[in-house]
Amino acid sequence: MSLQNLFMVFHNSHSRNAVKYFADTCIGLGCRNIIYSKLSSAAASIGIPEAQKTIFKSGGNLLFFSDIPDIIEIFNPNLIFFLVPQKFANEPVPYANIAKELQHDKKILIIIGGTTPGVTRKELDLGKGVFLEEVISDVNPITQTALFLIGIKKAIQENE
Amino acid sequence: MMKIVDLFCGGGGYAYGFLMANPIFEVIFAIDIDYRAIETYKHNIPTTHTLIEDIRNVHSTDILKCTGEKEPDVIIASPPCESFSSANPGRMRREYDQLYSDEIGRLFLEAIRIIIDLEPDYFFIENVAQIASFEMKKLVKYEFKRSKYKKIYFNILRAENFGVPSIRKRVFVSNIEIPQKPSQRTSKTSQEAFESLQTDRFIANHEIMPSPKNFERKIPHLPSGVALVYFKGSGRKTYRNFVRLEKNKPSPTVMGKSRFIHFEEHRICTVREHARLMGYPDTFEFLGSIESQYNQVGESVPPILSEYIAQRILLALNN
Repeated sequence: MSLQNLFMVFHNSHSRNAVKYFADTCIGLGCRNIIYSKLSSAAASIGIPEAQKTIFKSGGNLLFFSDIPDIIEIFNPNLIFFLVPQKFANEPVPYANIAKELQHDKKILIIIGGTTPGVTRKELDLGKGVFLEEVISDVNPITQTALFLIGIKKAIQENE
Repeated sequence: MMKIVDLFCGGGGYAYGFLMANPIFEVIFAIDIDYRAIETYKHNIPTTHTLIEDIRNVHSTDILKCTGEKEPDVIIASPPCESFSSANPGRMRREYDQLYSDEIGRLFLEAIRIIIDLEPDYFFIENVAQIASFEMKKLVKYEFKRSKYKKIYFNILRAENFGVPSIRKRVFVSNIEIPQKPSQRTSKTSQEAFESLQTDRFIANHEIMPSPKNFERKIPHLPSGVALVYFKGSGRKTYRNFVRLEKNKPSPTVMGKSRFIHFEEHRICTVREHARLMGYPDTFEFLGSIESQYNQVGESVPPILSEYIAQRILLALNN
């Protein structure tokens, strides 16, 4: 089983490096569906072309939207999760559930805020806020992405 | 009660005008990164829950935790203006870059983020007139596109038309229209602003500071309306500092770094005199170092202006 129905979304950033590192991390850990939303400044003008090169070279898919509702409208995902700090969420990442849903070909959107303090309250209403149990205090979004992908790959292996 | 959240609150002049307008207004939360400004805020509006923090690290849920989950009815914000101000020689050329690429300029977006998230009935973001340029208006409106605020107004108010004895043109980005007051034939003058200051009674922030050494000999010969310092702003504009006030005119715009020379005495105006030029009542006291006090006055919103805004809210409510 692969991560072909998992869509990693990097939302709201102005850092070109963060955009590039997000692509590197996702591709490096086996997720090929990468979406960016609400990027501005150098993140949009330089970060996206750089990330595009990395993603296309490795056979991945890149999409770029102006905001989260547009992604939802186009993809109509079955589940939407926001990776947020523990104080904004009640539940840890349900790795086993996500792995099971992926097994049933369900489309899953994982959204990571590109800036502190991440996503807004209104944006959180569009999905479910979950936190990484292994993280004690706030870590940067790229580390969150890496930890999540490692966790979900483990869960998928256990399911298999 | 109308609950107010005050972002980039500074010393509290913006909020103070609301409290002057009507006791229905209550400031429930205020945030600023400058601890000296917060000291002033707490001194003058002691009932408010204040937070010294970089707003970029603050989530709207953090604000609600501080207010005891009370949602605000009004949000007022006064983000830094140097990224947009033509007085800044380092200002970025394109409006897009001023708002999105400049780290300080992006703070304006932080105010919008919190407003959209907390959805107050009314909001007012104060800034320099350049925010109302054609391109900047488009960018700011775009940021509000997905919010509940379908119409965004860029209200330009001239403080001198409201009885403030200094020239000050400011924009209040809001979801309601604030009509400008008609231009007054005779604005309040510097002399009128300084009335009753020369008494024996103690007036806070009215300590006379020594003039800079290199200006000491020049000040007595400086004519009214002339400056000791000229500097280049953005583009070709030239700006002035250490201007001798003209007693029969309102003062030039008071900014954080502004220093004025008294129109009659050969000395630099005190913090209280600056505060008078911004329309502050003498009961409002400034704390912190002298430099910080001048800064708090110059970076603030004249309370008379925010009092007028508060009255417009009450009018909108009554209608």
